[in-house]
Amino acid sequence: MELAIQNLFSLESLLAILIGTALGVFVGSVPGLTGTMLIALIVPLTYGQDPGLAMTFLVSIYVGAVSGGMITATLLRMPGTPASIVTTLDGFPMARNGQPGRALGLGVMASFVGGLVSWIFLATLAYPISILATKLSYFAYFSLVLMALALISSIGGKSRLRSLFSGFLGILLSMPGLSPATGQPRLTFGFTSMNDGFAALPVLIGLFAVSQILREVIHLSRKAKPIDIGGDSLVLGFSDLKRHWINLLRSSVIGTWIGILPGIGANIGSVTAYSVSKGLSKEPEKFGTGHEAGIVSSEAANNGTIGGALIPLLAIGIPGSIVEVVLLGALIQFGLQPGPKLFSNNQDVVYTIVGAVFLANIAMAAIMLLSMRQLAKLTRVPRPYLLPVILFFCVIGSFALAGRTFDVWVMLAFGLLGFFLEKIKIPLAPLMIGFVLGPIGEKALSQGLQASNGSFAPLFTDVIALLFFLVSLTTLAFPWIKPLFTRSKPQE
Amino acid sequence: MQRPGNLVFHSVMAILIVVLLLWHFGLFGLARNGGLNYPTKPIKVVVPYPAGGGSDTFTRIIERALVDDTLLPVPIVIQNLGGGSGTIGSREVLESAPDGYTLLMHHHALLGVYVDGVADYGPEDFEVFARTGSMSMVIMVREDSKYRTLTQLLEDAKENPSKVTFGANPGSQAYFTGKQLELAHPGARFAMVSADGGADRYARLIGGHLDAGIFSLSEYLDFLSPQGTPPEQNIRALVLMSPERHEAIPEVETSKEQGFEIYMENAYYWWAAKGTPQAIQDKLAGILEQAMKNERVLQELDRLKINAEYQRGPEMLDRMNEVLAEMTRAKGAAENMEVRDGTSKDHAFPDIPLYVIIIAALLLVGVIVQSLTGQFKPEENTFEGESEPTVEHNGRAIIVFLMVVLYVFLLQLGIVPWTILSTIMIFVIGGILSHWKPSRLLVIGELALVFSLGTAFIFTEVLTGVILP
Repeated sequence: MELAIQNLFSLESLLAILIGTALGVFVGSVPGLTGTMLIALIVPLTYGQDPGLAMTFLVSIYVGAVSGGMITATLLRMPGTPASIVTTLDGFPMARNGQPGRALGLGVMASFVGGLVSWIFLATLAYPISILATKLSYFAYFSLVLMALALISSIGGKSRLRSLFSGFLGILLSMPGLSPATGQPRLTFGFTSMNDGFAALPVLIGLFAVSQILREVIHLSRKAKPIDIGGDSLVLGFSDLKRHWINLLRSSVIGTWIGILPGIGANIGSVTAYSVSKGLSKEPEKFGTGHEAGIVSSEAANNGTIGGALIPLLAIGIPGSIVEVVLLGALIQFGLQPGPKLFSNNQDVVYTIVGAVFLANIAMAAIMLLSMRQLAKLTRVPRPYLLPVILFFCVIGSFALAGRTFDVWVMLAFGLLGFFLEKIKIPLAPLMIGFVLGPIGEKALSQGLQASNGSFAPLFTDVIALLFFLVSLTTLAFPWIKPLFTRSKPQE
Repeated sequence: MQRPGNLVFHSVMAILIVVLLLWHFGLFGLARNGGLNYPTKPIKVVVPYPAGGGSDTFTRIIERALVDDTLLPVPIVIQNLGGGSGTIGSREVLESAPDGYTLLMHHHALLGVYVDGVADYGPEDFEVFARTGSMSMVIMVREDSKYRTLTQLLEDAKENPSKVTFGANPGSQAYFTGKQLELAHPGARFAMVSADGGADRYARLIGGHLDAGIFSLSEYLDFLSPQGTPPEQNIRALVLMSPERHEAIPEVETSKEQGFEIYMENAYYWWAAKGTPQAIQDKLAGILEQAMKNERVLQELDRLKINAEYQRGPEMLDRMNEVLAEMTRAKGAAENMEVRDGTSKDHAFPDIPLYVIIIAALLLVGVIVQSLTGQFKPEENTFEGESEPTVEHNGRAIIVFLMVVLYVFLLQLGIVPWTILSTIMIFVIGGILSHWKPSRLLVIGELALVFSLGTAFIFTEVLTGVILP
């Protein structure tokens, strides 16, 4: 422990945290570039360095990248990472209404709290929580995804029907590739290049960045609303913390707990936290129009999820996402065997990583708050400068993902799709979330059915599975149930 | 707001551009100086799994030895092309030019996807020139499991057919081994459950959702918890799937000892496109043989419990073909068994894509009805200041989009160098958007040069691992 603290507070280490976080924020914010990509490319460069220092650097990039995603999500409506999709719902309208700085500030505050809350779980309860997470059955996973899919219907648009359609279209588009149950290709139309289906990154930047660029090109002559200096208070006071603290804590904890489940990802975290906040809110109609609570829920939860996902990685060696697989690879490269023995055999490195997560969160908040005034100006950079460069990054990012032009074509096709769907008023956020969740849910269902020999019974016999399943049904039926309640009240 | 038209901005841009141009043309000069012999340019090694996985780690260990001992005069670029059970990456090499500049590092999974019909090409469609390293496999259970031997596990699977869960992806080598075990103990049937990889199978085992699974020896040793861990949170190796015991786990019995002549090991092979000249194959095989003698490689492989063996030529091919024949046999026999029992997996499984299509179609009908009947009053989702687009505005968007399409198309063809093409793309789109206003063109030109040269610099000098088109 002492050695870890000494390591962490050395000059090199602090510099690594600062530079790593800043790099992470940068790649996270550029549509097309992701933290995963950067980390995967940097791991080979760290060979031969001190393991603690290298891991500190990589973890800092990771923390920075997740938070950076909200910058472009808020300012340009182009989420840099899938985790920030929900942030666009309220962040962008708020920025458009002349308060980009405040929208970012709330996001930073929420990210910071989310990161901190999950860090506390990481630092104190990592092992028991990880063992607990493995207890969740296949069907429980499946109904958890089902619940998140049902929650989609309540976000992203005025019509639940349209949101649901969009979500299912997303699931459908995620289907091509190898079936998780049989391993056989399906809906690939005979192309081996389709065996992995469409990758999430090209789909994300196509749907959001490219379609938004096309929209901006059409509305080029639009004058941006001047930044409202009076209402755009960059300094967040205690009043903000006081107003949002329940939401902050609730969303962070939801995010953390969902993050602990391997393979679930930050999307379910932010969707769930957002829907819960909306459901509990006294003014749910304000969500989606630039409501502060919306930004807070989404950002607190997605950073909570990231911290949460580190818990099973460090405690028992189970990576929750692609980026964690890469981090795991880095550990192996340094001769540190990940797994349940990592903690007992390499305590110092584990403490160093845990400490780095904490410091990187502080660095992230500091970097973002200090550069916020400059960042907010991003909305005012002349479009002829901004748009070609973003387009360029979209292409290079899709290409760099795997070195295939196929991914670039996918991105362009989804750009057109996104543009036309918005024209006919189909919201895009549910589509992307459906796209990400579909395969997770299908895999869990397939595994569950394989284990139960084709029987759906465990869905009703497993308490947790049943609970999530009932929540999903209630969520879907909510529009019909709600009048029953509101009507019966006055008679009482 | 400050306009980026000031002196500082332009000077920084100018310096950057000059430096990048110097680097760019300097590098060009280097590349032209190559001789005639192979290799003269970087060799790309495709790893068909994501960075950080077992195959990736192994390839990077070899790569480091090649660099440290300067066994190759050119750099090695490792490209991770995961997905599709390894078929995305193998397809890339299959279709590459047979010039020895695109290689594949892949294990027995390439055989499995061929036998299972996922890929329509198999080992015969490549040149395989070396086998470097193999991994012993164990069947693993939770420590408090009631099974002590393989026979007990299979007997339970016979008494409770399709109730004992066994973690193996369809078409994987583990799956075929599971099938072989069933065949060796007539009447036994596992419920085969897919999993993402070793870590996922381990989590499911600990969570009590899997009764048994196949793991590599190094995975087993990684996941083994320290002494004193409660048995329900720890694991145990039931049997080692080899003819002889392994020195790393001398206490674990082999399948042979337990009465089964069924073995499983995985091995790393190096592949090139069909038609790669024999001389190039021999050269590469020789270089790999050197690498496998490197002290650090041996250390690292020992740590990862990968058996440091090296083989090439006909013996290697025989060994591989034996594995292929076993898989094919297991598949045939398993299919016969399924036909006999009437439990073809196609019947047992809901067609999930079909249901998704039906639901999406129904919802689509709902959306159309909603729009036509006017029940849906679209709140204006145009943001403040956006006016109704004119024909001219739409035309501009179409032109910009077509420009990008043309750009990607030319990149794919690979006629025009990346930097030139990217500079033109950024400049032209910027020009269109600014209505070719001269006051803006300078900045757009600077941005175009800095970003295209800058990314080229970063991806070739700083971050290797991406090959620009």
